Amino acid sequence: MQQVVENLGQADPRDVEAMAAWVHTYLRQAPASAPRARAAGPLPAPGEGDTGADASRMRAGYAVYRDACARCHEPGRGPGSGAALPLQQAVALYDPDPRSLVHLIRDGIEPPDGAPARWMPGFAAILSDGQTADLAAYLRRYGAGQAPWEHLEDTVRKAKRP
Amino acid sequence: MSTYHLRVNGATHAVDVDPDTPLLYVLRNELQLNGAKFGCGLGQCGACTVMLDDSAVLSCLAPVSTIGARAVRTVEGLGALDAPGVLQRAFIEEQAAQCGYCIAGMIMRATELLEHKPQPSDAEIRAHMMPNLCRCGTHMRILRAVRRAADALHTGARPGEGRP
Repeated sequence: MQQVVENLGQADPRDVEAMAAWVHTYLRQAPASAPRARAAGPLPAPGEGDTGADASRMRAGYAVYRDACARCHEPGRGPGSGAALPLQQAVALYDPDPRSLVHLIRDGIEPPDGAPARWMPGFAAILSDGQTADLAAYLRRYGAGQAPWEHLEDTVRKAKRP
Repeated sequence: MSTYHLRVNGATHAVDVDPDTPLLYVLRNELQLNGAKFGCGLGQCGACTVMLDDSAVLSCLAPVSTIGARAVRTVEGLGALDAPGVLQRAFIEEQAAQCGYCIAGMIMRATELLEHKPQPSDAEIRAHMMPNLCRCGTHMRILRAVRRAADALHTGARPGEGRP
């Protein structure tokens, strides 16, 4: 993405304005005043009282979060844990479209060549499609407190296309 | 602690470990399969690479709870000292190892490549092996070993035949 920003810096300002206008029409679909992110700290396990239609998905998603993500994203889990971004602050969780989060989970984050930047390993080969969708659904509700994404399975399936 | 039934190199093992235990620790500490190595523990070096079904994964990042019924393959499953697999033989013939710490991971990463692309170009070998680091700097020998194994598989010859 850094390369995109660098390259767009050389684009015609009118093109950049047109793109900004188009992106804005898309982002306006987000809730006008998104609820505040949950307080920092560990993401919660779904409680016994969570008996929604997708309660089992939330428990499965939490298990993936606890075992695969928390080691880096949550303080106090182990040596070095908590060094990564607290997921309540992860922009991708608040996006009306789940594609960014699914892409991040699957492919991680690659810093640009020769420059220090945020890095994350990809989990495409470690997590199954179902585990990836469960994790995204859990993070959406318990990390961001947002309404569920629809068609997560489709998003994961499409993300696998080269 | 939970009990997991893991399929490793064709055999099923029951292990009692915490759900977030990395697959690498289970392989090394519970099953005494010490081929995969602990390098960085952060998914940055590739020394712990193993196959999970048909993909190479960094086993230090893979929690045992996520493995399920998928098949794990480690370097121990490719061959033995007296009967090395094609890749193992090619690595020996190219003397690709210096200290050897990265080699099991390199071989499993190459296994993924040759299973998906039996006749890779040199550029494809380079690109595919990129996640795995060798701090001795024997990358050139490692790349030659993967090339040798690919050629051997292609011609049907055992690696080493007809080559100096």
